[in-house]
Amino acid sequence: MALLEAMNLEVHYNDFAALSDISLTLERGEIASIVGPHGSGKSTLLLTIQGFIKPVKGTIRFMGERIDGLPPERIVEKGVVFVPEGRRLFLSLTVRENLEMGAYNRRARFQMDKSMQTCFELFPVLKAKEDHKADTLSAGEQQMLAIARGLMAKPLLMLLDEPFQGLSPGTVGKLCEAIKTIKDEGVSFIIVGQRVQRILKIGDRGYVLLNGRVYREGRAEDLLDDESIRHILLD
Amino acid sequence: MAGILILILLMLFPFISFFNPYYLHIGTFSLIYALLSISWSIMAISGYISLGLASFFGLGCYLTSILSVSFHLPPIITILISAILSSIGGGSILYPLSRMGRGHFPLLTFAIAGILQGVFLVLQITGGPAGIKNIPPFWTLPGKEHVVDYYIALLVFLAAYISYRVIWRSGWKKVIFSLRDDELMAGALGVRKGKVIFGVFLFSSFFAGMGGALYAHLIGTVDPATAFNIESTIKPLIMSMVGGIMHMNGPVSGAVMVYLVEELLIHPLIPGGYLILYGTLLIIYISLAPEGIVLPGMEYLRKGFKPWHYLKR
Repeated sequence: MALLEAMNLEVHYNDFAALSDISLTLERGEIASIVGPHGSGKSTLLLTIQGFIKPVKGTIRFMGERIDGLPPERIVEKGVVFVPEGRRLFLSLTVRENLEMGAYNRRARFQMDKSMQTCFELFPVLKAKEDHKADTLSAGEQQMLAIARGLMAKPLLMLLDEPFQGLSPGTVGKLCEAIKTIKDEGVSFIIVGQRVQRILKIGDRGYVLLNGRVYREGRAEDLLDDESIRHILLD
Repeated sequence: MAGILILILLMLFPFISFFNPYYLHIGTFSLIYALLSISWSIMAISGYISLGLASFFGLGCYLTSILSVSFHLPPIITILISAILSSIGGGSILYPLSRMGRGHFPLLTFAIAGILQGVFLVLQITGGPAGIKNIPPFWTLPGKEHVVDYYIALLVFLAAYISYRVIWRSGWKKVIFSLRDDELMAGALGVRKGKVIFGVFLFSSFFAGMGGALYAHLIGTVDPATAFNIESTIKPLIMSMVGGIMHMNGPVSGAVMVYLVEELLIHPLIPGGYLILYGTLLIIYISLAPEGIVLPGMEYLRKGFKPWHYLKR
């Protein structure tokens, strides 16, 4: 049974079809990389999976259960965590409090100390700045905190929206290492963004979206070499 | 330590002031403003700026007056009932307003205060514009009434302060702040934001209603113009901000400081000049000290007064 199975999703913003006929499957411990130009519906897809937007057509199954139509707070309890674009940390809270908020859902709350330990091992810089307010962190540290906050929710699937935006290559490298470590623990990822090379390189499956449809799908590495999609992605 | 000292000082205040009615009056009203500031701040730290605290203050005023004048219930019971009813009213009015978005919320609450004032102006059973008179005081025998008033206000204030403190010291503070910072994201992490916000509104309106009820029994008359006066919104707002809403003790210390300055300094110098004080404080707050003046200022003094740090900037 696939971890996540989205079938024939269709999402409308008023009359405009943001996604049409999108199907996607993901196994446990896999990374799906989704790339595509601006406005191709990448973020919309993540928002739909997390329950912020209700699809007009199609189904989303997570571990065999229908999750489309559920509110976001119920979906996070099932093990899907969204790390949004622009990080959206709780800026007036400290690093530790942000992490504690990550473990707010009932399933994760009991394992908070243990997951906090894991997060600090993964990102030692967060341990050093434990009591600092989140708005004093650098962009890279903020992205680490955003991923760590997501990890605190004990996810089976993490949805990362533009995780590498505006970060230095060094930081991006560190984040990729961390993502691989988390993946080896059995967590799946859907990574969405504009940094095509990076995102396809760490992915197992790759999807290219164009105008709300799947334009190409396959092994992420193959897409990287595919000449026919270069012109879309390098615009 | 300092907290216990302040508590003892508050308990002994009537004796320290030698039962002087004027000082007792100032003490009582400081406590009521501190109570209202807590009531305003709990909403502000959740991200909902209210310009309609007067609605529930006024409801408390009227409910307790009706219950004690028409039904002859003792004031100590009516203030409790009217606080509970204001709380229910607050929750059921504010919650739907909050769903219309945070940007609209201040003006919508302002509108509610206006509507309620209008309703009580035309409502004949509550005396229309003249309002209700001869509201019984807490203590009918002459002599010790100011002391009783003070202790009742102290009791109510302590109830509000302790519950506010519990919220700050427990996990609730995190949840409330996370809603203020990013409501959508807090929801995505599993916070039942509707329930939390509803609870905040109940808490806030409970103590606003309680403050209004105390006020009605202290003054003895209630009419729409005073019960729903915009001042009972604006004063706690400025007091809380001046104290610093992002500090647990900010609203209370702001309320006490601002009220004491108003009553002891501005009032003897320029009678009725309190609006000058509030206006000036608001400008100073926004332009120079957006984190507040009283508590951040005290912290600043404790860390060492270094004016050259300001010159460098």
